[in-house]
Amino acid sequence: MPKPPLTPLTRAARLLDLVPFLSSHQGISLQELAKQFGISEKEITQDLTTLWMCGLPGYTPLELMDLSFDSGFVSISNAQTLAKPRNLTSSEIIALLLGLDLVRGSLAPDRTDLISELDSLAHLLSAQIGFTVPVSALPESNSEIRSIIDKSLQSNIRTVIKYHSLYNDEISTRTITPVQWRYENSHEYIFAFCEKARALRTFRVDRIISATTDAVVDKLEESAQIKTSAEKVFYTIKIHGRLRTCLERFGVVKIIRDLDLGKELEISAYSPEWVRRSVMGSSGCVELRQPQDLRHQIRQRAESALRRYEVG
Amino acid sequence: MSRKIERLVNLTIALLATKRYLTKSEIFRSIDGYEGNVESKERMFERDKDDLRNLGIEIEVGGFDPLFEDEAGYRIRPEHYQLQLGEISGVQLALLSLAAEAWRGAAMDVLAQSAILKLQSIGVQSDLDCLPAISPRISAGEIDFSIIFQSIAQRKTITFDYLSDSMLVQKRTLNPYGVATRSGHWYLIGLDLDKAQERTFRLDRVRDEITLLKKSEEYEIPAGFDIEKSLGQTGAQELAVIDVRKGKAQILRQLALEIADNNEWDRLTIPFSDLSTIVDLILWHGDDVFLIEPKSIKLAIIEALRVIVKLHA
Repeated sequence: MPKPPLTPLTRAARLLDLVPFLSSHQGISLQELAKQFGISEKEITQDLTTLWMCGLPGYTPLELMDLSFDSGFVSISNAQTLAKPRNLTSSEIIALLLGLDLVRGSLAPDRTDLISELDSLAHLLSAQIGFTVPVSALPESNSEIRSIIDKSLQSNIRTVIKYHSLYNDEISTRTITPVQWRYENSHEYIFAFCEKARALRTFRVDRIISATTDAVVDKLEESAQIKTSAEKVFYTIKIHGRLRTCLERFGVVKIIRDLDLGKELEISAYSPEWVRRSVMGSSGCVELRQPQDLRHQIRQRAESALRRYEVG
Repeated sequence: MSRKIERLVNLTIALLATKRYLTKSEIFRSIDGYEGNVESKERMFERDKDDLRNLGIEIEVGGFDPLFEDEAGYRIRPEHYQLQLGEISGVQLALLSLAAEAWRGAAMDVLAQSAILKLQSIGVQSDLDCLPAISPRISAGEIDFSIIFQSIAQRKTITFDYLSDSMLVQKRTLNPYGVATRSGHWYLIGLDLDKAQERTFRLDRVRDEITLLKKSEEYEIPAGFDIEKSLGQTGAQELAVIDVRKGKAQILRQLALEIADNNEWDRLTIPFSDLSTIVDLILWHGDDVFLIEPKSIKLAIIEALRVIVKLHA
């Protein structure tokens, strides 16, 4: 994520937060301090040097803050005025309220002890703003599964997952070694080495049905080969109705700005099955123009489905 | 740059430490960094005040000195500056940290980071051991919530361009009531001023920037507003009965209220409120799914299938 540009103001804010942090973490190593603030050791040293020049009016050694950080460990004294952390901003409070609601949705319902703690925290934070902010956050993926995968990523161990592949609507069991979290289109993915595919694959976290770090792997399921076709399918569609819904479904809403209803769109996908399903699932609002064989298959599917429903 | 930073920190310290209001001349005389002629000092000070206020630091103006009639005084009250969460337990601190950590990697990462640092500076040991091993994460992608959060906190009207169902860009004016997230999508709920009705907007359908309406009056969030209710589909929910092949249709299974065994199939009972959504979902699954009832869906499915056949003839 790109950091916002560093202005004197954001740096001043960091210095104001540095003092209470140091006051409550006396003797912290320079390295750890830099890590906590998400900046380099050079930057934190610059911050500390600037802080050295700050204090109460008069600015003699009696009034200036006293910092020691030459041996690689940082301590602060004579900093009572700023020793207490700054108030949370209203944006921070709303972000925390959303986060707390998310935590609540991630807890097992029998943890009533924690749920009542969450309630009192939400109450406490709302009081800072002056009213109860209506927020609601449901976790996109199962938080326990996420935690297992995160652990296996941190400690570089394998995880066995049950994964729902949307393209062909199938559930498979795979052994993966997570490499990196990735974020795209507001969804979270884990980029991992998949032993079944013998290659790096990306898995959408909300489609992982279960995860375990147990070394016991079901050999039968493991031996089943997965079909992986990495070949792109190029196809053309024409949208006849519910424009926004259909563009969102085909993932092209972002790239289309001015589109007339009925214009043909050229799109590519990795799975012909996904294309067939998406056209069928647009209930007649989307027509597949090209390629011809896909077009034919869609017609056959629709006809056979129609026969089933018209009989009943 | 570092002179300016020093001056801002020193100004904060001086205004916080003082027990009475400091006049501008006292500030210029005693605080390091105010240089040049009176006008340039004044300009510096005005900018610094704005800057600190932008950081959320409240500078109080008052305490006119009876001897110098027209000179205002300034101070920052510690109780306004400092975090006032009262006695906080290690468990509560752990929960707050988890809540802030949920924003990691999102566009609001910096915000989360600064909240975490403040919380860690309270001087309470976070008691993580009492929490289950969960690490919830907010999927916020590139969405910048700063204006949205600001408008809600200050109850200020906003305007933005919104993509309609027919892909038309429409200008909307909204008094936001609340914000919510469901399966990776973000929703903003509020009073649509043009429609004079409560409306829900999906944030990824907002085009370009959201702006605060200048000169907007503070609005009230209606006492009866219930965000969960607003997010739930309006109107009575109906039930659909659907047969799905074993091992298939994971998405529909997740929606099911009831799953009964039916030989090679499972019979699912699914609540729905929007006819076209459920028809889309059933047709997406092809012959792995077969609708049993109600008739309204069946007729819509038949109609949609006829259109598909005709379009692909």
